[in-house]
Amino acid sequence: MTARTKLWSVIAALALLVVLALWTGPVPTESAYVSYGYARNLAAGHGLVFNAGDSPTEGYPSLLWVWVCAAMFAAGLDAPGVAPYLSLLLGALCVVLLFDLLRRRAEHGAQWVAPLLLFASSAALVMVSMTGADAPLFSLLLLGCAWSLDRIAQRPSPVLVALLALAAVLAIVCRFEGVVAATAVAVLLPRVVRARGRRHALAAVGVIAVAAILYHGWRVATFGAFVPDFVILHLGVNDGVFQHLQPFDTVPFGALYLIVAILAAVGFKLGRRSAGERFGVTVALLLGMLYLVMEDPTPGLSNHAALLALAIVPWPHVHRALLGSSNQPIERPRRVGQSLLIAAVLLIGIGLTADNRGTIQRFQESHLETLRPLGEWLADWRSNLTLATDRPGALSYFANGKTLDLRERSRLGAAEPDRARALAAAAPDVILLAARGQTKIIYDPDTERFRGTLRGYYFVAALRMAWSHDRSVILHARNDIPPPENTHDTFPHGIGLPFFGYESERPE
Amino acid sequence: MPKPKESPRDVTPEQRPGRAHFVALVLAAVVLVASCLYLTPFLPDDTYISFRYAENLANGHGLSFNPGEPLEAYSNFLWVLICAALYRMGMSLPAVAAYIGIVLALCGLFVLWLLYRRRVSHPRQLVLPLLIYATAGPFVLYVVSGMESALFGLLLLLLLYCASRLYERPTTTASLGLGVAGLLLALTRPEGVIVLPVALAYMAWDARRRGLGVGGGRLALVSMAVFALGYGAYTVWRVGYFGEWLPTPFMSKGYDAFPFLTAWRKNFWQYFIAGSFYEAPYGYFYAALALTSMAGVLLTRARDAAGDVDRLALLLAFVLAAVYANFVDWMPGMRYHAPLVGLLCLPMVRAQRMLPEAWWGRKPWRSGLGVALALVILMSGYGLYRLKMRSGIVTQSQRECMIPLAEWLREVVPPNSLLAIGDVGAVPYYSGLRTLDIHRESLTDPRIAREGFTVDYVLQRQPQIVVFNVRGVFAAKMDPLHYTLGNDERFRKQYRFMGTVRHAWYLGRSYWVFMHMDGAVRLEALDRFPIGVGMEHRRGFSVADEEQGQ
Repeated sequence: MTARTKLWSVIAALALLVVLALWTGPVPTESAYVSYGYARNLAAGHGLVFNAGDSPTEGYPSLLWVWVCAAMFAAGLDAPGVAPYLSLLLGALCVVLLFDLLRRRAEHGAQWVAPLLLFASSAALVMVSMTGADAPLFSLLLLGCAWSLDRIAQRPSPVLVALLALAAVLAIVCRFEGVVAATAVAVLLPRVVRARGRRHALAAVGVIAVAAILYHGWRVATFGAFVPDFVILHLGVNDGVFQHLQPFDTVPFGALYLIVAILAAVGFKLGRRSAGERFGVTVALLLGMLYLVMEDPTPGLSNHAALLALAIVPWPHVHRALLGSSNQPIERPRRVGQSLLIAAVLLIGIGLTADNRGTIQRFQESHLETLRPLGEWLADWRSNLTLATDRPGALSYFANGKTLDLRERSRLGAAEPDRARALAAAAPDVILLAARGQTKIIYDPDTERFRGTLRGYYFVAALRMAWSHDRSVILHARNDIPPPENTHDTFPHGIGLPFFGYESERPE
Repeated sequence: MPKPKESPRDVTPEQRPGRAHFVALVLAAVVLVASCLYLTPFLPDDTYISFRYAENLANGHGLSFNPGEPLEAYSNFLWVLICAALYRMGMSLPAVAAYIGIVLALCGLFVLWLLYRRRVSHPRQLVLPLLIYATAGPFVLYVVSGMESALFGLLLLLLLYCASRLYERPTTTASLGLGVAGLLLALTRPEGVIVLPVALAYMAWDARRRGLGVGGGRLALVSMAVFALGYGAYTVWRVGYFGEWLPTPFMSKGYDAFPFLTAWRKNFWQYFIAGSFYEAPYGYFYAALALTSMAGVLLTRARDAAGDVDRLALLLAFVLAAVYANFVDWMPGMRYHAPLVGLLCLPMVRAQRMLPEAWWGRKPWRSGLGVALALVILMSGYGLYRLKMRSGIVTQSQRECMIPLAEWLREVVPPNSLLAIGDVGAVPYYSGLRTLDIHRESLTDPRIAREGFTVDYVLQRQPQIVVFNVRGVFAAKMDPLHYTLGNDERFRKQYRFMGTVRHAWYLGRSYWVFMHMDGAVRLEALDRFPIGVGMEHRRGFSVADEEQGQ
């Protein structure tokens, strides 16, 4: 394959990613808005706090991403608007880096073009590239580690070792579980360098170890706990892996990640097992298992999506070992047949992305028609609003008030671990709870414990945030706070009720 | 027609069915049955139209949607006959139709296996394509849908089998078989009429291209004669019986200035951009199957009979897909295309020629075959699960809305009342009421189908019950034509609002039910008015109740 063809292949992969990502549109996740909230406070000089004036808490998924978003705020940019496109840029960089890793393993174009195109068009990459969250950054850092290890194994150089150390340190700062990647680097690096590079390698390992100790030492000193609040909050069975979260809501992506894992395992077994592959497969396996016990409500599983590129690295070996090495020229029908099969696989991949887009659209609808308008309405109502909610993402970000997170195991908004007691003590202006139903409300069992506090509040409205089961946000206000006079005209309508009465519509 | 190129006696010992061939068949059959049972129950609304026709026919009312009003509002004559026979034997159609579909799909699997046997050099090459056929989500979904899809799919494969026999050894029996299969296809679906002519045209063109002369032309004439005589007789009877050349659904599509362009646009959106309601766009799945089949055809270098039949299968799939592009298909998994899965699976078996010989060795689980099997199982599992989600929505809608509404209607209105409704499937079937189809593209009312919906016509028919299909439980958005009727002064005076019944979560799709003032309803009956999908908590209507734990 000529250099020109390679260039066009990479451009095609990037174009595929950009087109599919823009087609999908921004994916507003709750954890991304929690990060934006932290970043806004950090940029305003309040430190790493969920609410200005509170003690520091670690309720964000990624410190590095909070820093990036804080830099956006400091530069006068609207982070929620800009971050998805920065994620997309990082996703595109992942495609470029994966191209270099794949082509070094492939004997001919078909062995790397197909995996690269599949990655670029995958539902997982497209989704995380538009979340405005940290997953593409973490994915890029992991790929950077694998790439550096591979290059160092071929030709060690101090620059590459420094680059690897930087990637590993950033991975540590990016996510709590980044320490797994850094450890893998520290174990593998001394093994891959030759004698003359060993000094640099040991220095890099030392830097990584010191960075890890300093960072986690600072974390424990600042937040008072080793395991971050974000991890504690999300520990649980990841039922999104093997089944949809709620009936008819999201698609079962576990089967697809299992396909990726099988191909990775086969490629690893049959391939050369380079340092980059050892790193990739080990980290993907360990983190993949860790993510099985972390709740992940995003359509397409954003945690696992960050591992996708690592798992694809050994795929060229699968092609070579199972389909046969084809250095010899092959006759035209066979070549065309192979191209058709690659196109068929690619179509399936794009079909899955289109399928996932349907689920994402429901997230977008919920965000644009319910959570964001309600948050903005609350911000207009009272400037220093205090609220308590079990949906502390976009709602509290746009309400821009002091928020008490009512989710079990959360410490956001109050250090008191008993949320019912924390709620009673805080006596917020409004309480927002997720429930089923619009006219008669069925609360989640977890919410039962707030019933006592709710007696001091009056019901304001129920806003539908999803069609299925009429899932709604229920707004209560404290009895001593009267509703605004223009409530009827200004209150957001939520999903599906932009009209009242009896209307005609265009036929489908 | 081509001359014979290969006789069955030329079959190599490897190609003769051995134990491994039968094991592959049995395994695929087990997987197919399991897949079908997984997606059961799924009886979309249109299924009930056929059931109603079948039951009316079996009860001696002729082919009519409403007893005594002969009308061709079905598009599956042969399937209606089969259902009528089953009903006559005392079977409940909603209960048994899915299992008849499974039996037909198993027959299709057997025919596919017969065809595959001539194409594989090793029995293990049967495994992947048979597994893909047995777990192809859209195909399996329509096998159990109570529709004619499984029958149409089986007949398409039977036609290919007869064509294959004709290529191998031209005999009158094979020719007759080809004609009969073509005729049955034409009786099963309207578009089935083009299948045999296309097949014979291809075979004639192929024979001429290769200078094989017209030796088999006489046999082709036999096929064509069987088909033409049978279909001609059917058409004469049909026109005589119904008094119309075209079935009602064909007449109702003309509301648009460019109906075909509209259909293409809607279908493209439906197939590739966004599934309707909560479903996946399945165009990618069929496109991937088609590309794999094309790869199989490309790799069929030998000019053998099997290669010709593979090309014919691909051609038929493309021709039928081109026809289906002109008819809007809202159903999950692309209902019309589902029977084409068998056609596309046939040439696919040859695509395996690209794979190394090691795949078919003594320890296939150590080679790529094991990996490929795992991947196909996972991918198919995903597809089946995805469609299960969609079929669950349909089933919930019928269980919690349509059937309770129909039973309520049966209870509160006299049996000879007229029901006006746009969804003429489950509600009319279970209520047993005479039905006026007020959909703007009416399937079962010739007047609306031919001249369009008018308020005067509907009011003149004096329906006892009028049901609007709208968006919204508490506020209604509806078809402008129905809106005109609902706002008409006469309608407002003559009808009273009874209530709303949600039939789907998405968009709050609901039935708004109105009853003629003449009809008296007892208060107890009003209390039993169905509440629809997810509305179990609507009664009581109070947050305080919930907070008191009621």
